Amino acid sequence: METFQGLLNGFSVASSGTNLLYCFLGSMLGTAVGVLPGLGPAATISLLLPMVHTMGSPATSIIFLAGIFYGAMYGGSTTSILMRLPGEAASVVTCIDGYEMSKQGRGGAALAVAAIGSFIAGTVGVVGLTFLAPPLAEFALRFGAPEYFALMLFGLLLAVFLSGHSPIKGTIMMFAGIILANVGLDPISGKERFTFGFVALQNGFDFVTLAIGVFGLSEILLTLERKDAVEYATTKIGKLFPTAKDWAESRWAIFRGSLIGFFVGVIPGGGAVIASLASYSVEKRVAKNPDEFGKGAIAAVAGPESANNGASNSSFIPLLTLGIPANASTALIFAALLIQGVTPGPFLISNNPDIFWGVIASMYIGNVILLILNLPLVGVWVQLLKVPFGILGPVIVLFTTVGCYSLANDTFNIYAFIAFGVLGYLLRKLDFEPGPMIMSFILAPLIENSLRQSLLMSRGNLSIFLTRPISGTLMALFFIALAVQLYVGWRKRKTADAGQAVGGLTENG
Amino acid sequence: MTIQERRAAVLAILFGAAVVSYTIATLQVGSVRKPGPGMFPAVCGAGIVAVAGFWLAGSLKRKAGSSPFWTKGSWKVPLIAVFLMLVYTATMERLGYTLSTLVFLVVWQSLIEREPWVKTMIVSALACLFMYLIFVYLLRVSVPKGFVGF
Repeated sequence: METFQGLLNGFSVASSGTNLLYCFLGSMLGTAVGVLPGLGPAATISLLLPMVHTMGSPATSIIFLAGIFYGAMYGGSTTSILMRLPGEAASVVTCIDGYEMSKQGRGGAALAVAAIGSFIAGTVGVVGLTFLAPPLAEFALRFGAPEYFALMLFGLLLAVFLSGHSPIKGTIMMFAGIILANVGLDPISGKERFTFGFVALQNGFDFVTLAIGVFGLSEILLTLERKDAVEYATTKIGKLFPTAKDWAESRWAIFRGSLIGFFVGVIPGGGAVIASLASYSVEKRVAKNPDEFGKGAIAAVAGPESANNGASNSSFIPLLTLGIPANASTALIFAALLIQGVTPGPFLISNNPDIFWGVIASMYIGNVILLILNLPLVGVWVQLLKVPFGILGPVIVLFTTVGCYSLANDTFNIYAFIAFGVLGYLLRKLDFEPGPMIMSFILAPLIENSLRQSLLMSRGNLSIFLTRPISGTLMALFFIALAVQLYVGWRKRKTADAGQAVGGLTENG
Repeated sequence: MTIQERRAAVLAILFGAAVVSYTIATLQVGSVRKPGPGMFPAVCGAGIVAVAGFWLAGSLKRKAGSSPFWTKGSWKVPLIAVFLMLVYTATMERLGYTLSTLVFLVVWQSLIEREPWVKTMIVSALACLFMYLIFVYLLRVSVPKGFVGF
């Protein structure tokens, strides 16, 4: 009953003129970002962080940023299907069969199934969020410092192992993020750390400059380096309605994709990319004719596209109830809430019900807006690709530069942003995924405080993390996940070494 | 693993070692019973040394590939862009936001995009106006005025 009451109040917040407008703008911008290759939702949200305080209430800004996040999942499918150009990382897998369908003149059906699947999965995700979040938040009220430490440790581990192809690089990035977050004054003793006598460093690095630098500016620098003109060989869209056969082949894929997306999205470190890949492999496994995969199988579009939307919506569950961002985009939304003086976590639902329920209600509305935006207006989104990077690039650079300046009306933040941009560019050239660094940077103060508080509580006895039921369970999960990942990594390495040895033998005759 | 990645592993080890040295030398690490401000960064620095060391040790057993970090001269354009941004930041407060933005756009369009000057001027002026309207009128951002006063 309380849930329905809360949701009703949420709809009254979300349907106010300003919030409705920002929900629409966020969804539209998200779709545009999804369509444009390179600039993903995390980069876009990071670019807009300096502006959040100008949008009015915290609910409005989060409704806007959330719209960008799940809107990008819709938009990413358009260019993947029509041009084999994944606008968003979570749509890479859609390229395979989506583009094949386009070549066969079935692009319209692929787009329609992707949009309908996204809508259904997005709605499933929000319904799950509506009913799962309040009891989870209530449960989280039992959390003390040791439980928070164990939970965040587990979340960081998953973020490292699920964010990229190299857990070693992810771990290095995670530690580096924590060290960067330690720059400034120690929150407990007030002692300066890593300031080297610079007054400007006493407040530490602003999260916004780090996020915009390693995501946004590094992306622009990489694009400038490549500077290869994309050939927009668009194919004909064809009929925008799936046939009865298409629908029969895709409905179960949508259902499975929705569930996979929902559960993967809830796990810290999970996310839309992993959900779409998991869905693709499940669909291939259950398909009657797996040979059709890669040649235009509609289930291979419906499943992953549903999964990435389901995941993007359900990733708000750990964010809003536990204060744990599940991926880089939600980490940035977490930062936006902190900028506005709101702390996400178990108390959000009681202290800021307008934000909690307003954001959830806006997702219902946003899903409908996105369905309307993505089906009839598909031609308009394709035209967006015609805007030359020569105009888009410098405008984005200037936008972010002024955004950084406006944080404290000081050029120090711009220099920090440029430095982080160069760092992000070099790291990404070396295949280092910036996600774990961003997540650990934002979680570092919480982890450190909960660790130090726990040690002070137990007078240095580390068993505090194992003897309390919730933290003990979480620590057990942490060690199991770590052991599994290490074993998988060891097996992979062994296989690679064996392959290299065989290669060496054949080379040597 | 490429040669560049091996170098990155070495750099990571050096960075981690520097963090540990700094925390031990200048911050109070404390003990498990009473952790000091240096404990957490020291643990993270040691973590980087350990993980990067493991990574490097593993890579030394294998033959390293040698794909170039930059293809022929591909570093030039990003470098020009970064240099332009640094100059823009350094001059923004003296020249004022509008003038420095206009100059930045003109130089960017000429040097990086190699556009003809007529198109450069039109695009730069329009983009500059667009940015001014967004930041100054819409978002009410306090931008530096410089000696020109806007």
